[in-house]
Amino acid sequence: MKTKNILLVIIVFQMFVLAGVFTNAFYPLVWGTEIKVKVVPVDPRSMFRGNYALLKYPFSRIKTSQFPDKKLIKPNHIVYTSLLENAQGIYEFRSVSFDKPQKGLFLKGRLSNRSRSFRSRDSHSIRYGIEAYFLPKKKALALEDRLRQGGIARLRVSSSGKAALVEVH
Amino acid sequence: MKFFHLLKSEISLEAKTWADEEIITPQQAEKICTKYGAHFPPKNNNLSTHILTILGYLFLGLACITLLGQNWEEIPRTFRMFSLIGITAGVNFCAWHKYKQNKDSSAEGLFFLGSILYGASIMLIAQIYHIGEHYPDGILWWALGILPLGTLLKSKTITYLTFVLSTTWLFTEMSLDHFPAILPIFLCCYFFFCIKIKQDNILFLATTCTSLFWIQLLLSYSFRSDEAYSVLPENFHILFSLFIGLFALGKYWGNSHSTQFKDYGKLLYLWSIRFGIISLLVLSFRDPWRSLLSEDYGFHILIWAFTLPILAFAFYVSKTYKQHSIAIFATLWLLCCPILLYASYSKDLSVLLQIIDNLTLIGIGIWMIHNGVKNYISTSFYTGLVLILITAFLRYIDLIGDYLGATLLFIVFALLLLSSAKYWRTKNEN
Repeated sequence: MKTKNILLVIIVFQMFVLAGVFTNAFYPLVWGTEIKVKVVPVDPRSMFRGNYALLKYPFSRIKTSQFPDKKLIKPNHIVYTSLLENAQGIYEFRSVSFDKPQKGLFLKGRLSNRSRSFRSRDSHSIRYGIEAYFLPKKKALALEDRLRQGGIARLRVSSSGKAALVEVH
Repeated sequence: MKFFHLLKSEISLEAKTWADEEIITPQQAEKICTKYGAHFPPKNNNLSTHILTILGYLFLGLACITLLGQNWEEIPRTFRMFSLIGITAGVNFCAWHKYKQNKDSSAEGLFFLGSILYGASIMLIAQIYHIGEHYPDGILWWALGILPLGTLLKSKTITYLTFVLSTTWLFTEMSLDHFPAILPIFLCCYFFFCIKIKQDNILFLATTCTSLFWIQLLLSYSFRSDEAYSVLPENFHILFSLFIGLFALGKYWGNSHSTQFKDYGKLLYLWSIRFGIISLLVLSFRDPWRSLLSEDYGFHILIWAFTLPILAFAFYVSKTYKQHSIAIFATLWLLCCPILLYASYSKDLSVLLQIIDNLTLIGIGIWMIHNGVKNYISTSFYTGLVLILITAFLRYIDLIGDYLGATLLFIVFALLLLSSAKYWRTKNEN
């Protein structure tokens, strides 16, 4: 009897995990502020999740000199990238910080890694969790062709800096 | 140490044949089987049916994952998501219902399918909402979600699936320069499964290897001077000490009254010997010693904190069970360790260590041949023989010093072999 109950708890736990993953992905789409940013695609395939276009943003790579404190530059360190809207209504890079900005629109990201000479690099990659745009293979390739000269991504950004990708065109 | 303990179904079938042919009585056959932890009469389990069912469910799950990989856009995404979550919940509840009816085998198969669908659901949500951040988290949640199922259902299949997932998570985390800190939770569960739930030699060995890898990773991650993972010289010391510890633990468990621990002990013993031989063969060249001596070791206290208790345990096992081989290996390592840590590189020293290594290999070869003949263990006999021949071949193509040095070494090898033969001949005559 006891095992049966525990099994039931596990099934419920699995459903909670799925609900958690869903909520985590969904809440910026509902409560986030909509912004538009420039984007350039690259095309890989994920073993687990199918085909997708890997997107790069102008603020995906930031020069080392633009970081407030070089000592804090570490792999996987959380950073906040502040964005500012230009005259065309496109959001562009403004500044990067290790502390959460008090005001303005910002994205929460993680410094990338895979370098033996991490601190001595001229610039650093940042991942914001909005780099993968999943599409069927044909559509992913068509998008890649279409956006060869660059395109616009529509994002939703929550107050905590978590971004969700809505659309790329 | 004999290894046919590990072939339980063969023992069981052989005992049945002897009993059928009236060579021994069924009672004697049962006693023999009990001694080795085998079943008598042999279990008439529907293993093939079970495996085929599980494989069927596996392909069903894989079909689901590849279908998702196609990103089937014709179906609205909300419908796709809720239908898959619904199917996952449905399959799991169906499995639970089967379990309630005491249909354990059907329940296990359905829970296995449910486990794959659960993972597929996580992937689908990631796909629908374009979640590109740190994808190993998805694998972790998958593995965590199904971890208790294997133990509760006493299912090897689900535990294997969890093991594959947690190991995949370990490597994906590592590839992204993250440290898989909670892996020991999984490892403890697998050890618990092997010891308390069901004996499984493959899972036990795989978990032991993963544990050793994780310890090495912890060391590398904690003490790296650069930001990326790198193999530190300290890794070699810790690994070698750990394998001496496992060798001793193998002997310790080998003398246990429990058949299960006896089997695990034999496995540890066998694999630590294999590792030891391969390592010593690599170290029989001069270059590894040269680089080990040239390294600048920064964490002496850590190395000793690891090495000394392990060696103390090895000496204890050696004394308690009169296993001199353990004491010899532990002593050699106790001598080598400070030389590597504190002596600065010199050509003579690296040659000396290389010679000691080669003599150790010949010593192990002699011991294995003797052990094989004395205890009628053919694997030990042939491994010893091959080891001596390989060592001789390696030294022939890679001379130590010049031709004169190599000649001297071969003479020492010959003396060692001949004197050992004479010693045991005299001992046998007496």
